[in-house]
Amino acid sequence: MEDNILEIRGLSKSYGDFRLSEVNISLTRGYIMGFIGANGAGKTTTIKLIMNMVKKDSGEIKVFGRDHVKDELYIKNKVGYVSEQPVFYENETVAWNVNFAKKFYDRWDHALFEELLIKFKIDKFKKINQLSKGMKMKTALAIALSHHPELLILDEPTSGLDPIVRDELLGILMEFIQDENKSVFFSSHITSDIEKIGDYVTFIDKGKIILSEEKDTILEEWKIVKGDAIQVDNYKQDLIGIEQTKSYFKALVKDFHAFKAKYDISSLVIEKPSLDDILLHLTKKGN
Amino acid sequence: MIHLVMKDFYVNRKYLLIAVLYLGFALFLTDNLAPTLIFALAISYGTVTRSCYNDDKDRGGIFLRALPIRASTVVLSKYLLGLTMILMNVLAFVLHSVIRGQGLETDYGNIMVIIFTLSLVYSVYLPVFFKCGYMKATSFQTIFFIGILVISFGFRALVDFMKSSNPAGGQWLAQRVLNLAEMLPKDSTTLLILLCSVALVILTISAAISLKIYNDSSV
Amino acid sequence: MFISISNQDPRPLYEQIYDSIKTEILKGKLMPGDALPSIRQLAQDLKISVITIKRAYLELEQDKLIITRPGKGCFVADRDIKEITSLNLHEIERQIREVVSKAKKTGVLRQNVEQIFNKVLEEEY
Repeated sequence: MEDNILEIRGLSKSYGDFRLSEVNISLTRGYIMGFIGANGAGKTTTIKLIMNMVKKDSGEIKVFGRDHVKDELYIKNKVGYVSEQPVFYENETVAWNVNFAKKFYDRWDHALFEELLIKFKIDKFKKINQLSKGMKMKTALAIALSHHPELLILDEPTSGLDPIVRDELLGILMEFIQDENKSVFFSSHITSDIEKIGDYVTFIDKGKIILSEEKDTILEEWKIVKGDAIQVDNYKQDLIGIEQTKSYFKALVKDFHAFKAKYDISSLVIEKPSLDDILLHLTKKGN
Repeated sequence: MIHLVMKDFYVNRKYLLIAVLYLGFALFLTDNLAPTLIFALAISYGTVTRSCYNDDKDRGGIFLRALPIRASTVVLSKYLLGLTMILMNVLAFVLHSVIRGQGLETDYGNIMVIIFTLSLVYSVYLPVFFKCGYMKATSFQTIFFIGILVISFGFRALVDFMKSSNPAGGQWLAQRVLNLAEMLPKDSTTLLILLCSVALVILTISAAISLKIYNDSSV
Repeated sequence: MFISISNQDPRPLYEQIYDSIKTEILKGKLMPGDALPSIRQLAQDLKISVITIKRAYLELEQDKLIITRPGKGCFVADRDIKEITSLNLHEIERQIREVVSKAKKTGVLRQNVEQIFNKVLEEEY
């Protein structure tokens, strides 16, 4: 077995205004990594680069230990990919689209696909353009799962879905991970989903990775600190992304143990951060 | 690759069905082949461009790129589609001759036009499609056809010029062209084979260019 | 096995799981030799990260509350009554210390604490 199921080193890509620079991401087998960032931060670009749908300027991407361009076919056979707003031949039925796609996979399991269709309540004789957004996503996921992939790469799989479908989807991902050889890499700007099931979280902003860490560690060591606006200067040095009004300030603290040892926190309100808070404060201007 | 070509036929089935039926009627019910020929060329060209449209619309390029298909397979499938169209048309005209009991020679001219025109047109359209996508390729195609029309008229003028009694220019050019024509094989079959070879070369070069473009492209 | 976890709880998730399982063991709801759910299964049931569960299980193992049999899973460790009682007492002492310490910090007088303590003892025992 190779070291990491996904290994990205020094990935860079420029497009007009936008630049992805020196992106490094590592994911081991058996875990779920959430990829968080604002719209336009570079999530979709990174994912498309992994799938060789966009040509990189520089850097290295290895999936299952193999180069993502040289071994593209091998990799695509073992990766289940779902794009942001899944794509099909819209005028044809689900059944036709699947019959077409399945011919290209080495390990297509049609029995599994039929099972998933029933489970997801998808009518395979419906035309793609008659399906709702949630249905399309589930169809794409069913196809992605039916060729027995080892890695699922999903771009914003839950956006635009109602909470019930979202929950179903998260359940499916957790089921997938029961096999500790498999991993999931998914991007989302709905951070609560990643907060639920993510093992690792990677934050990206304006084309740069700003944090990549075990989710638990992040949520334990980082804290939201609130206090009287007058005091803000006492702590300013160690505060990240300060939000300030006339009467109070709110900021993020990175290593709370160290912070607690250094300062008197009795007049401060300390809270557990959400991943949203972390993204917000880390990306605040002036950081 | 065959799957991709089959897919192209299937997705375009309504269009093809109507076109083929019409062609069938035209071929066997009329004697005037010129409009039929033009029609056959039009639908052959249309089939390939429509298949490109189907793959390109609604970000369809992503669907194909997510599948484990080699880039060369995707590109070559379009050329295979083109070759299939050429073959189908040639067969239709050959069948026409056979059924009518006329010699193949009557249709040789038509067959040569089919092979040459379609090869040329596919060779130009496909790299443009792979580079710019369907929308831009369509605009290009319009300009291209207008250009062909202009050239056709220009050619006509050239021929008139050559026929003219102006010795210095016209005769000299006409002689050159006649010399060239002397070099061509008189035998129709050889001419046909020569034409096919040229067509194949043009298509191959076009395919190589398309492949390079597609390999470097993003969806 | 009942595992109570809550986002409202200030303790880290892995600690909540650790505490839940430990409580079940100390109460005797989980007996020595009982199998614990697999790490991944529990993660899926609770819909939380595998790493969180792993950490909780690791700590439980370090505290000799559970043992891992390779290839078989995690099981409640054998322990004798004395050890369980002593663990229980440790836990009680820890909690009382927390309360007393809090009382002291907020300026409650010792005699008031004693009063409350005795009152509770009267009611419970």
